[in-house]
Amino acid sequence: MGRTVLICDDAIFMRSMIADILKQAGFEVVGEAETGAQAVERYRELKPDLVTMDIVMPDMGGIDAVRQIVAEDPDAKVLMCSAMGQQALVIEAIQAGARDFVVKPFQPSRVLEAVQRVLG
Amino acid sequence: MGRFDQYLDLYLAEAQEHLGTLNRGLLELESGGGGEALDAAFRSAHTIKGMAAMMGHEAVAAIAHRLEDRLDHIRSGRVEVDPALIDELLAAADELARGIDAAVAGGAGLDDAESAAPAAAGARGEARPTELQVPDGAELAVRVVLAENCPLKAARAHIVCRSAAAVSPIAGTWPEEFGEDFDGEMWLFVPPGADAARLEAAVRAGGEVALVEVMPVEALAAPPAGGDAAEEGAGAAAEEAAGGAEGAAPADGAERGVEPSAGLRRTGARHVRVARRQLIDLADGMGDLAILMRRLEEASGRADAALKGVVESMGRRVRELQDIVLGMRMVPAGVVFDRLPRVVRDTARSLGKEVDFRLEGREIELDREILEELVDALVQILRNAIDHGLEDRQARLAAGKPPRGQLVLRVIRERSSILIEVEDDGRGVDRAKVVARARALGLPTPESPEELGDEDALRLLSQPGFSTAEQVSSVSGRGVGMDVVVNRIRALGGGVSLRTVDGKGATFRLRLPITLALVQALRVRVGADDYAVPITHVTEALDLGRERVVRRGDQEYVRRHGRQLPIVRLRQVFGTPEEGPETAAIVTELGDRRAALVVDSLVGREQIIVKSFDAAVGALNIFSGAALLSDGRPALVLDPISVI
Repeated sequence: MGRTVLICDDAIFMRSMIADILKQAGFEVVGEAETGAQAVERYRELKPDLVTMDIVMPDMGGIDAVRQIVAEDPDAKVLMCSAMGQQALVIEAIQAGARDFVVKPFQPSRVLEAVQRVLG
Repeated sequence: MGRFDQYLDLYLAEAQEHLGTLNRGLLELESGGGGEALDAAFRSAHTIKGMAAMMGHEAVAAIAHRLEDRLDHIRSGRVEVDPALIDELLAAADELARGIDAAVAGGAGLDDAESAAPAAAGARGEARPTELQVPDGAELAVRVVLAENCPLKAARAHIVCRSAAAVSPIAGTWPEEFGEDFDGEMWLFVPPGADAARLEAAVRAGGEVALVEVMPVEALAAPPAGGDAAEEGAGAAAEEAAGGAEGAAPADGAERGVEPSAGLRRTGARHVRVARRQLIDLADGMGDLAILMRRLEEASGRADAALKGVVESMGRRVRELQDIVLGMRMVPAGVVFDRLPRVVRDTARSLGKEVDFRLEGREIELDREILEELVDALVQILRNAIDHGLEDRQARLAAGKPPRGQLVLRVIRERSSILIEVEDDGRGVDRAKVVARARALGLPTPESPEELGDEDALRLLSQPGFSTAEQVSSVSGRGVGMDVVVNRIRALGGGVSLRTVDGKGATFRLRLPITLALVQALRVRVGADDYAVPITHVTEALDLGRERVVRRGDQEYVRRHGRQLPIVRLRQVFGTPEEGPETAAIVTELGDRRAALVVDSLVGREQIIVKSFDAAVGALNIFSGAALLSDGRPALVLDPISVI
């Protein structure tokens, strides 16, 4: 069975990029979200194997979304996608329950390494 | 082999250039300048910082960073410039230079090709932070170093801790919190009951971990392993450059099988660094080989064609090699002389004089060995000029001169020699003092100081122990004086002359052969022996049969170029019995001294290798050394000026 992923980012361009990288690694993109609120909702519906989450999004940011998702499902596997210079926010996200992070601009290899760590 | 080794020579060369710019900028700043020079100095500090960081020389980068910050504060006007600050900045620049040399020589901070991260990890930071506090109840200590290129290290540290915490409770960490400036090195302290192997695996699973060391907390009390020696910039590493490279081996090498190489480093770069001694020996060896070659060529004149052919080819090849080796010794004068502006500045400061110093002809190439030999002599001449020649501000203004003393060092290239002039606009050599001192020493002097010519003044000044300093200044102390300078220059096959004008200034002029290794000489015969006279000292050679010799009183002259040249017959000088005609003379000039030295005959022109000898004091001071002639015979090298 292929692994499923929910991609959360407010930019279409970013969602496409991440989708391409993960599809090449055999993932099935089962859903996308543009806001933190959408991310929480879609997660409840889809229960994907993996979630990629952007930090800065309108209508509930990525950190709050992670917190909520993990509260409802402690086994949730969330990978934070952050821009350079957002270290404090990334730490907050980790403390909120994110399993790992990658930094933009990210290289496919690094993304896949991080995914590997997250999925164990 | 390190990943960045190929950049080592380039890094060093560029760093030296930037250090030069930095120093010049600081000196400029000191003399009231700023603007462009200050900006350049700032950029240089910034660039060195970046390069050092790329090479993994973190301590050097830190020094450069501090310097850059301070220069930036000056640029933005936040800090006022005063002499004390300049001194500090110059000292920091010196520290930077030392740090760079130490880092490069010690091989510290360079990556290992197998895995860049561990090497950097091992070299970075101290093996034991001094403020490491072991929490109570901790049994194991885990040192974790994140990969050099790990982004957001503090965030990664959190993940690593969390991963470790899944395997065992964590009693504490160092640092306690991971802030923005966290550099990737941390310690976890773990209570009893943890499985070291699982702990290590859990830490690595956190990702981006370059180094994990699990050890009992008792091990922390022990002195750190050799990893510390890898920290470049530490004074100790600087002192034993080779020792530093070896010191890095135990801690890191044991883990990865790295073999640091001392001595000649194979860098794959376009330049190689070689011990100076090796280059000198090589040049000496080539010179001897060249002489043997010529003897072989002469001897093979009577041999068969086949042998001749081989010898001819060999001869060409040997001469080619010689040119290459000689070429290796040539460097632009600036490479060595760029130290002088600092020396002048520091000397002037300590003597309370204000001096503007100019260096002309930095780009002219000289034999490196000559340059190194010259530096001490030049420093002495410069110090004398600052100490005795240049007046202080008040005296200068009273004399109608600009308030700051003007000092110039010029390097000038002539066909077969190099001229170096040191000119100042001070008070000139004090002839009265010189005469008085000479009399006190029992040396022959003219009746009155006005009659003391420049050359005679120099000759007196060059007498051992002749120092006219009233007090022994810390700079040009008694006894270390012109005699040492002049002898050094003569031993190099050169000469010194002086031109001094009362109240206006003095110029010391050094004339030197272009290269030490091989000196062009005229071979002359007097009696049964041949002598060599360096061409640098010969203005021309005369065929005595064609010139007219006139006698006036006791002195003979030969007329040449509208001038009367006094004649000195070397036969008489050497005490050689008179046999056969004297057919030639060599004309020698230095300053206003000139003469035609008459010899039995001119044998020819040769390239000789001058080997200086230690003669007894006072004896043989007309000879500056011995040499091997082309036929293998030894000959004395004559210093013609000293004969006059």
